[in-house]
Amino acid sequence: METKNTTQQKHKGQIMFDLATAVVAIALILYFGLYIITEINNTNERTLEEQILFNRVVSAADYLVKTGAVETQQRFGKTAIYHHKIIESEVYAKETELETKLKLDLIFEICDSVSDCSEKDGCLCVNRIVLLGDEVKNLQVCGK
Amino acid sequence: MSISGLDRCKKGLMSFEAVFSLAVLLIFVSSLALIANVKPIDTTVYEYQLLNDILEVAEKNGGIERLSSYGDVTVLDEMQSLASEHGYCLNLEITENIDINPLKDLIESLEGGEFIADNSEVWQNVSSSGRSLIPQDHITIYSDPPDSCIERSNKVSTTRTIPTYLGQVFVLKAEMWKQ
Repeated sequence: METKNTTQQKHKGQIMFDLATAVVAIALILYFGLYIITEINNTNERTLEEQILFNRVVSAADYLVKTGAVETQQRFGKTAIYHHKIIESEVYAKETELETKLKLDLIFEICDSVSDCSEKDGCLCVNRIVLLGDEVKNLQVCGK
Repeated sequence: MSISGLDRCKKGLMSFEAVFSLAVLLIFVSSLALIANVKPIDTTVYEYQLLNDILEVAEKNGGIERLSSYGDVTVLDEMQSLASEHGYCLNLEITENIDINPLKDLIESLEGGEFIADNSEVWQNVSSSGRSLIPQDHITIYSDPPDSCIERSNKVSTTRTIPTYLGQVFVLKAEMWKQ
């Protein structure tokens, strides 16, 4: 009688061990599954945010190069716009206006080449090739 | 341990192995999905703008005029170095309807290389810098990117038509891709 009970208890023990292992494995699968889903979501969110920031910085730079800070001339009662020929003071004058419109912190820098521009920590930067007078310069627009 | 106990133990181990393998497989697949899901920022629009900048600046600072009127091909090198400075490779192709005078200017301005003229006025040059000039019914100047540039499929390209003082038309094709 006692031996039978011991065997039954052993079986129960084995079943419990089986169950516990399965529960641990299922819990691990669920944990990693949820972790991966959260990671994918976070990555998507980060990429989207970065893309939005990049697009805004690119549009700010394009505005400066095409119309915002370029040389203009009155011809036959109309305004001729010389895009890519920028005016340095106009570039910096547009900083606050663009910051308000795009809701970004912007930093503009005009340098001889990309390597000459200073590094801006935590900023996403784009470089545009412009003319300052007759000299080829690099206009760096950074945003965060 | 009784025989049924051993069987149970084996079954238990097998199911444990199955669940464990499934878990490993799931983690592996999910990790792959995570890696595949990471997409870089789409920079196509910016790349078009940068390519346009290179051409625009060359046009506005008189570079294109130097090229079209005086055959100064160093302009192409300047354009390529601008692209390379921004981390891009640039491939340029210029085609012009044939006229012997600007062609002569062009040839004179080219450094190195050997020019061959046959009876049918076909000029050929393969210079050390990799440019080739093969005018038949038109001249085509190829300015290839440096050897360090690996060809990539995702390129941005544009074509411009440039009138010259001689009444001819240059067609400038530019292709740019990330280094």
